Amino acid sequence: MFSSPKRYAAIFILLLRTLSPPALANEHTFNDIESTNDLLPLSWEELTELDVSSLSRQTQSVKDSPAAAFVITSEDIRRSGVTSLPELLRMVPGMNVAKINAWNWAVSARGFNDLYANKLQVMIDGRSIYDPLVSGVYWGQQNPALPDIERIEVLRGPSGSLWGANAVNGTINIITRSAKDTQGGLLYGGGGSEEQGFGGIRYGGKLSDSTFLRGTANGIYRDASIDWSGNLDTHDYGNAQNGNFRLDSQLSQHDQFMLEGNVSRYRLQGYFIGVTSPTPPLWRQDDFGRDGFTGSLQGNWKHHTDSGHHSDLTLSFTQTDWLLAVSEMNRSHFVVDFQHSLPDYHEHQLMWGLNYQLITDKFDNSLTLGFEPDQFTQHNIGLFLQDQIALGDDLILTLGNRVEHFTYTGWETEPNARLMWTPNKQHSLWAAVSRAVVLPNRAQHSIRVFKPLLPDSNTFFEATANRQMLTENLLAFESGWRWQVNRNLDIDTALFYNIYDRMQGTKFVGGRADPVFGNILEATVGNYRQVKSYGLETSLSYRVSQDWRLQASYSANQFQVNYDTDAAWFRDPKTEPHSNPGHTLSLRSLVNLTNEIELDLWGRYVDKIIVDTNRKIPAYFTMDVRLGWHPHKDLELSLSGQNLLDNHHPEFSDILYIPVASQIQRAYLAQVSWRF
Amino acid sequence: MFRVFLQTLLVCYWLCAVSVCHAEDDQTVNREYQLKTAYLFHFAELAEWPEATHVVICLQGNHPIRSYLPVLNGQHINNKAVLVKFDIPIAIAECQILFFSDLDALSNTVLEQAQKFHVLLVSDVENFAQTGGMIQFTLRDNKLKLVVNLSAVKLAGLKLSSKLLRMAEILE
Repeated sequence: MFSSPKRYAAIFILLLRTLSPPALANEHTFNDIESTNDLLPLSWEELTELDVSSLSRQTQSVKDSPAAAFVITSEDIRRSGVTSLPELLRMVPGMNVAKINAWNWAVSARGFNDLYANKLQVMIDGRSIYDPLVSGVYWGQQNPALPDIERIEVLRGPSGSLWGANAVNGTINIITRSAKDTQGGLLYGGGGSEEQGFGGIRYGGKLSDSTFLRGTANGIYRDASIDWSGNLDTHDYGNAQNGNFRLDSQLSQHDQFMLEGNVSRYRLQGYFIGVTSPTPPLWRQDDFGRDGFTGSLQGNWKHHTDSGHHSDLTLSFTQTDWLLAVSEMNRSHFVVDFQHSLPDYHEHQLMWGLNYQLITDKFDNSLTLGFEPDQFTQHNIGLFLQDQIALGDDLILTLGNRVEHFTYTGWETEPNARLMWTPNKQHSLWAAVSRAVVLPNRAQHSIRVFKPLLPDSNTFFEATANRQMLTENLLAFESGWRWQVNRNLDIDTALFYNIYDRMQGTKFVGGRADPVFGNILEATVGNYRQVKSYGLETSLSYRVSQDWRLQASYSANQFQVNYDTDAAWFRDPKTEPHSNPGHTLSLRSLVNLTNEIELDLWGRYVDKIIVDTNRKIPAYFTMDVRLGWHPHKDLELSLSGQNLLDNHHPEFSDILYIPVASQIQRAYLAQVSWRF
Repeated sequence: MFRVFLQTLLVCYWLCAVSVCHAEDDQTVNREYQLKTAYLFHFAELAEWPEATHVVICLQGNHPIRSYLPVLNGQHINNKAVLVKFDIPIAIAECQILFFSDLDALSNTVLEQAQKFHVLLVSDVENFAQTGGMIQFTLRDNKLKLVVNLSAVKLAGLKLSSKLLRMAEILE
């Protein structure tokens, strides 16, 4: 799973071979001249990041795959001035990113945005970081050192046949720099009005001519946000610390090894609040706060033969422990992943893989929050197979399928077919039909929540799990067009039409009178809804000159929901068509004013949303400005202003968070980074 | 049922293909000279000459980069025009950048002339920077790196941007 570029690359190896035969140094061809020309519009920073030689299958980027793709480069990260992963994703077309409070985010692709958005697969170096408890990512618990990230590849749309269940509306691959690329020292840090303090130190050394090691330690301290009245803070303070190492070794000409370890601890406030008790007071307010620890270790071994076989083996182990006032969890997650791609056979490029994961967890239950059974082990196994067929010089068909067996739902299948047509260097068109599934998660199968309906109400509600919960299924139709207008301008557009079946929903199924708690409403989750969505995403990149780059992303989408209108819903499905912004726009301008000074602007428009019937979030337009200065070759200073156009604005609201719903404030931030 | 059939078909298909698969070498893409050419283009912007309105790139000797350099002729970077000249003998006074193919050609006379006429001396041969050259390309971890002899640069009355120096190894 580690080598994401390889998977995408393999999709297009044949195309590459037909379009651009490799350059031979001693005999120059028309193609060489073309490729030199292609390098000229690049900025100096981009140019210096390029590898001199590489296997052709590895040079192909996700951008050349027959799917809606976007890459955030290390330069994009540095010049965004932001300090967290979700903020970076705001520049990607088709991504919905909304901040709930200092540590909680709603992040999704192509709609269904929620704190517990469950249709996105997210990986760091191939290790999945989505939480099997809720099938979503707790973004507040993921605070890697951003300077360690080489790039972030974002694929919208389903890629279940390659990445398995939950790669339904999108897949995000965070790829860190190899130890070889991070030799020497880096010290960085900063502080400001919201990010009170953050910083990190990295050092990389050479163990032998072919083995490199680096270590990074970083931490972050965040201020609380402001509530909906705009007066009170929402106590969502917190801090997180991380330690990380990465070892890269070229074992032989044919073997590469990588070992990466990470430990992080965090103390985050501003969570779902309240503790229910069987003796009066029946409920008291308590800022849950979450204390947690995550440790992971992953190893990857890549082997290739002269005859063109490529094998890739990844083992990873993740331990996740956290403590809330009303629950405690300890979970171990073990993954083995193997993939093998074969040499080309006539028009065929074949690839297959096997994946096994074991998830075992244990909860400490309370009256407010419980999971039954409190201990559970899942074994999930998957097999995938893919063939790319060159139908002609400019036409490639990719057929893939993954068959998986899950403890919860048994056998599932996620096939897809993709066709890409590249009539010339300027244009490529692709179309795809895919099926993908969202696996029911541990919470849906075992949760019990018991709390007052609203903080001060004397009606309680009990939400219970559904052991019969099935997968949510998606049938997706997509198409796209990449147009390289000239060497300074490219436009990438994608269209999608998605049909979802058996979507999750929570409805009230009855009520009972209790001698202690009075009225109790009973709610349960189930595969209750059908949804259709369609939309458009487009991104444009324009190099005005080597010193000025413009990048724009726009997306629009629409939803239709089918549900039982007579039922009483916990979350009103009627609002679904409005719970995602109809239009989203991001515009960035990156200018080198001089060789030492950078001025970067980032404007964002997000359409209004209605999260629940009575929670309307108005549309907003906001802007970030960053001024960067390199007074010395190893020193970078920057000042950023974020969300400058208003004092504060809300971006999202979650029904479980209403008491602590926050607004996002204008922020100022100073940063320094020193290489030694 | 159809689904199971389809999967079985795919597996069979794959097994058939595997059993008869044959070998083919992976192809390596090398763009060393393309990159060096693009670097030279940026040097025109990142170096500062006392009185140059355009930047002429000259080439000493026979070097594979000869095939790639003509791409730069007539291009502009940061309002500076870039020209490429392969004249023999080299009129060093007319060059802003001189790329060397051979270390032997870096004589004392050439070094003196480079100082006098403010010429940036660049090469990819080993020991070029130690021997009095100004910018030397080296290959490190599959990336192009620069070794800069800063005193030689200063003696020639040239200035290099800190943007360039940020990624360079500096010989003082």
